[in-house]
Amino acid sequence: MTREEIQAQIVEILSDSFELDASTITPESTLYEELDLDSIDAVDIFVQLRDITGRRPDPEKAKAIRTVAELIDFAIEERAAAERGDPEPETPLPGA
Amino acid sequence: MSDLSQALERLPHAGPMRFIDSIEAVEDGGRTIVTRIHVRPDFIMAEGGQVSPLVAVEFFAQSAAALMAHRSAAAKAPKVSGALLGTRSLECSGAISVGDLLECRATEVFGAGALAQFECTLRRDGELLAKGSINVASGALPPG
Repeated sequence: MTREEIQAQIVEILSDSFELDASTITPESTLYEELDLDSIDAVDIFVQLRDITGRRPDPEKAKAIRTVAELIDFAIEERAAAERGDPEPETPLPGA
Repeated sequence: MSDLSQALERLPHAGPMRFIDSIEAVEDGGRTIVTRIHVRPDFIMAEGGQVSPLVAVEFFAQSAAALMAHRSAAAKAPKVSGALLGTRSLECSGAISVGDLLECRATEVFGAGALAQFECTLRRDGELLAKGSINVASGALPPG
């Protein structure tokens, strides 16, 4: 899957899930400021991202993502990790 | 007391507000929990022998809470408190009645810090009654 194809799928996730105008979503768009998403929306995004990456996203890396371009980079890295057969990351215990 | 019973005792839900009767299993490397619910005649959400299928959301939420409780018990960490934030998808395909023995399965599909999403199913004798996803928040309770 090319970067452009991944970008198209991510734009589709964002526009379908949050009723955003796809034409306004660019790689430079910031998730929380320009697209007005919140942390709960982010959880939905990363769950849907599994369809692209084929594995459970790394939550620590996911928390650092701020733009659509970073989301695309993240998806590419996760796909590579899945192809290498890297173990899925552990989810930290809440509050621990 | 078994690990699963200990986890149940860590649930903050009590009395008639505890809908889960038992934890049957924790599977998938600790990401999935299977709980059992017996819908008794005095079930607080029963009306005329029937229970709204929407109550499945609370079954899902308490099962997710039980998984968090199991993890905190296993880690000898403080008790965990949490909240159901909502559901993005819920499909109900069958009625729930007093007397039913239900199996709820909740799988954590993503967790980041205090937020997590679970995909859940509710079945009776294998028949799918409801499925959906819930978002939850959780964190450690202060000591005391």
